[in-house]
Amino acid sequence: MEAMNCLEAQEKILENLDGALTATDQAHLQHHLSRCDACTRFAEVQRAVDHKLAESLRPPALTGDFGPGVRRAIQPHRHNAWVGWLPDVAYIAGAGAALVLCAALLPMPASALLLGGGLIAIVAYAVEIALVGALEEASE
Amino acid sequence: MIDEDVNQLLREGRWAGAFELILERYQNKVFRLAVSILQDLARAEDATQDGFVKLWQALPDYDGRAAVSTWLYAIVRNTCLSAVRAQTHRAADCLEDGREPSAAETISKPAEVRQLLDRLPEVQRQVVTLFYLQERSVRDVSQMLDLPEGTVKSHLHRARRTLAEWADNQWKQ
Repeated sequence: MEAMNCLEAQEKILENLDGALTATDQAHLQHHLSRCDACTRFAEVQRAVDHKLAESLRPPALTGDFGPGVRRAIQPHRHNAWVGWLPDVAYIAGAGAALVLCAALLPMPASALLLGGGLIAIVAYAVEIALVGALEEASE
Repeated sequence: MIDEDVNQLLREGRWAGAFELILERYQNKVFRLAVSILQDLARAEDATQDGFVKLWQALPDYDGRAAVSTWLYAIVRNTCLSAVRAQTHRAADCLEDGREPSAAETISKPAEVRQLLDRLPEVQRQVVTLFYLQERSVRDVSQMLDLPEGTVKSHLHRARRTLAEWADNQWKQ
């Protein structure tokens, strides 16, 4: 069995407390401890420290009102999911309405229809941006 | 992938559902993280609540690049550090006015353990406290404090060596 020096043994003793020692390392460590009083003493003190810390630092519990308290606290900040979709919906609706209006009402050639439809779509887009801004401000 | 269900809800814009899952899954871990930094149960619970409210406000901006838990831990760490700074200012004001700072409801560890832990460097105290509160998971401590696992182990080992030196006479059976 490969010999382990005191420095390595003490590091393995500490790693063992982290719960990360392999069976081979365990065997090497036990072999070292069987003939080293200083490391045996080091291991005893470390186990005592570990036991004391584990005993003293138990997971604390949240109070029963924690969950309801968080839900009450976020109420004034509810998100409106549909606000995020509104620009696309409004834009498509505005552009569609523009084309229908142009085609139905304006006795003009195709180029004029496209120009008129485009202008109305731009106006619809500007209205929609203003509307979204107002809604986001209201939801904050 | 961890929290894939949460990410799916976030992609669909179902923030309330995602938030409920996060709250249920992480409230205890986040509370322990806050306790390890603040060492005071009431302030830790306040910081935990503030952290969740900040997370809720920021959820629509979540871009999925980091895990939700990583993001939440960062928010809570920053909230706790702000609380520590505010407490330091208050304590300084009390000293200037000649008043005693109010007593904190600390973790219920024995005075001897508390005194020894308080003597450790800040980061070692946080790592040791969180390691035991988090049931000895180096990985959890690493994620919660945003430190590599090797660094967590190194802090743990240094702290244990120091504590053993101080405590050798007090704790030996």
